[in-house]
Amino acid sequence: MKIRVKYFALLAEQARCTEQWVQTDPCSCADLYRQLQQEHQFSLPLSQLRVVVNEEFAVMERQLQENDEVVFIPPVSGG
Amino acid sequence: MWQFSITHKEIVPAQWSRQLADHKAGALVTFEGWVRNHHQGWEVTGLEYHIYESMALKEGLRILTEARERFDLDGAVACHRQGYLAVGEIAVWVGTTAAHRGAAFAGTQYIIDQIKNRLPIWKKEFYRHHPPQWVGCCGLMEHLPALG
Repeated sequence: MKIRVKYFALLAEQARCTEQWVQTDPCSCADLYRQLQQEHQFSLPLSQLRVVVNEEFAVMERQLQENDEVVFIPPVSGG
Repeated sequence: MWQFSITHKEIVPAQWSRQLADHKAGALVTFEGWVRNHHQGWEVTGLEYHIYESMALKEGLRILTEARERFDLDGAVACHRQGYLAVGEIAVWVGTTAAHRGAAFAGTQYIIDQIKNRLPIWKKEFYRHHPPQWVGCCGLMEHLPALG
């Protein structure tokens, strides 16, 4: 199935893009991150991230559906 | 007035203060976050903010709604910059109005604390003598669903 992934901040720099479509077997958000971490050599461990699916915060165990939009959220530093 | 916004343009405090003008209010408390020229002993030349805009707008409004429910406020406005900012520029502005100052102080503090901890906003610092780096990482957004 196809998943749309958007990247911000450090993840965007390490992926060298701000979004990509990923072809994957059915998986959870955590599985997807591990897959992408291998592909892009992301330095942030899963434990430091939160995840947003279709513009709602979700748990990492959430099973993804075709065409879901996923954003992994690095630790924030606004203000 | 209740408004949370994100802008690429310079923040002009007087414009926002005027928006909050209200004859019911006896107090306006504002907070400005400025870009400072140092961080942990390194000389900072500027900052770049990256923002997940749709989520930040949604969460930002949620923060204002929470402040409205917790404190006796008449209005609240917050605005955050994105993109590159030079030293001295205003990165974030918060203002709340209330009949009495106590509520306005508490409301403004609540809003800026929540903005810093919760919004999907990231800051990259540029230094005179070192390569740029992503900083902060203080907000782990622990109010959100925990990892299993």
